[in-house]
Amino acid sequence: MSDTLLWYTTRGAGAVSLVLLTAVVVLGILSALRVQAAGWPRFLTTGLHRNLALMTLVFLALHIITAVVDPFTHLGWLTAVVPFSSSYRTLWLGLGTIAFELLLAIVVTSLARGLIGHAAWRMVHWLTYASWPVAVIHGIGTGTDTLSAWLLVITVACVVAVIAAIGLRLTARPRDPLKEPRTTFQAAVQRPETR
Amino acid sequence: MDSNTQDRIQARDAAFRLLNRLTTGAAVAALASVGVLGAVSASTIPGTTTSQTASTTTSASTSTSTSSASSSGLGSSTTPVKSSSSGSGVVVSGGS
Amino acid sequence: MTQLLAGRNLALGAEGLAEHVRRLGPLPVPGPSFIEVLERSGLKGRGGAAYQAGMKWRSVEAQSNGAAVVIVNGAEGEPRSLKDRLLMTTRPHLILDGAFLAAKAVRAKQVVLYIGEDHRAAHDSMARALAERTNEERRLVRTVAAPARYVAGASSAAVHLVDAGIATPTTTPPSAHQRGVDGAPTLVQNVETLAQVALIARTGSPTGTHLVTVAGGVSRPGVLEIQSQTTIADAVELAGGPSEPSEAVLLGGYFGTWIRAASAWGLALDHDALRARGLSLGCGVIGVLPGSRCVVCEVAGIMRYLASESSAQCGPCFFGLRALADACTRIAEGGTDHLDLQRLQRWSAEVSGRGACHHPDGAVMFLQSALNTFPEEFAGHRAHLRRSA
Repeated sequence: MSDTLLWYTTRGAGAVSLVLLTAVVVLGILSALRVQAAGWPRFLTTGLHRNLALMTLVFLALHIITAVVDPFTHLGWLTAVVPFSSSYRTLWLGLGTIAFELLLAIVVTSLARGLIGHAAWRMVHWLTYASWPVAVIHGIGTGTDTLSAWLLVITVACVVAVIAAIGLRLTARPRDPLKEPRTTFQAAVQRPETR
Repeated sequence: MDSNTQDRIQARDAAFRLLNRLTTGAAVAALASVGVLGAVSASTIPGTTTSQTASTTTSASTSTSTSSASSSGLGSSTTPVKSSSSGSGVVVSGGS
Repeated sequence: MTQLLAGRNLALGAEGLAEHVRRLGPLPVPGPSFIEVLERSGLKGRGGAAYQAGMKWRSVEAQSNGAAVVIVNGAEGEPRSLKDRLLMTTRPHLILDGAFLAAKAVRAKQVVLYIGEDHRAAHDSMARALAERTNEERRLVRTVAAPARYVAGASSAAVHLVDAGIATPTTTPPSAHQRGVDGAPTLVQNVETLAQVALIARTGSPTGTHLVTVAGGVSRPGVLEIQSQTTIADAVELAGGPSEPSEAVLLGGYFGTWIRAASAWGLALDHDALRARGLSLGCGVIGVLPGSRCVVCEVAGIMRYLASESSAQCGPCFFGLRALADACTRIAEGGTDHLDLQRLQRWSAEVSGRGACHHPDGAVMFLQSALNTFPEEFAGHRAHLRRSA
């Protein structure tokens, strides 16, 4: 396989992984907000969130494998699992390793949730929040393409999407499905004059 | 089975099909994007050829077919319960 | 032997104070050992829970510092029950006697008449009876309308209405007799129980009778005063006999238990005998299901009602009962689906004990009783042809 092909694939797969991870984060936030519409029940949001998380891992694997196999990069397999063990752009690449491992952790614990219990799973899921910003920084710091238009546009779009989703999360109050029936019932049994 | 129940079951099935289509679509788009972005990244480095841009990587199957049963089985109904105050078969035809 | 409904013909309406005193004597002043008398009598509450009245009074009195409250529960929210209304419209002074005895015994400063807002005749009768009482007695009393919802008749809902102006049931502990209106120990007692107290104060022992409402497929549905050895068949006969052959009896109202008619007829309406078979008189409704009506469909209808009467204070009740009712309705209208049967079992277990009050527990017990008593009917139910009206 051509060296340059590996190199282009690494970069392409890296960008695609970032976009997928961004979608996963946004869908996760939308899940918490319990958004739904006609034809889009809540399990669709969580289902897509999970499917894309797995997909992210697959494309991350592609990104990592092509990077390590590429003779030009002089990266050993160790750099994929031990953070900050590469000589090339040690810090930025190390962050990538961390982001990858956080993602691996959530996928593995999700698949084994029955064994580890819900509380442990939740804790790992909270840690996963860190993987997105770490991945963004890894992309900016490691990449040779950072200032090229195409990746700049993609990175900015991803950051905007997540910031918008966070903004929505902070401002929108989660729907309480009991609110309406509860208020209706209370109105029926309220007799303030008896007090 | 009344039409209400049937509608809900069909809606659920439709949503599942939509999930599968979106997942597949995302996988295809992602694969294609690796190729496209790889090519784009190639063209931004001066001096390189762009002839080998078609991605020949094998696509990994990402179908996870999560059969997500609704969370705890409670509250899947969205139709309001019809309040029938004389719901019992024990009809009082008169009191004393 | 005295009876609650002894005295003038019930059709003549309320017994006035003069006649009441002439028949039974004046209201005795409860001595310091009255609660002990009550405890030894073994009188159980007639509101449905069959809680020992003496124990409740003892608990309230022990914590009372003169600020206790007595709530006379005449809400009668159970749709088919008529006994409380009958007592209020025909023997109001028995109830008031019991209430004032309670107020003295537990040292209460307030007596609240909690009467269902739709029960106009009962309300008017109690008001007229109250007007006949002494000034001292009248000063203690205020009347409060109970909203016409199923859960509004529960003790905690009654306390909540009097205390905060809203009749939603609350979590217990603490129960009313520990902390109730204004934080004071509150005695909530059904009107029939208080009527029994009025007679215990005069004779030293309860009547040994119960009021039951026979409802459904009988010729003369209505209220009967029965003894513990009266059987269900006797009660049904007294109510004119079944209007058509029956296969099922629901004992104790919507939180009660189902019995196959063949097994039910010989059952004595004795608290202990019923308890031994896992049954209870509950609020005293004996519901005879006409043979032409399908048990599965009736159960579905009652589940829909109970689900709609949820106060929506907690998810397990509001969503759980709705899901159970929907599954029952699917079985009733579309025929049995084994998945739905499994769901009924699974969801029942998930709902039980998870509610903020006992409404979902009662509904689940009702459903479980139906499933256990009529397993074949539920397992093989087929959709009926459309009935007209």
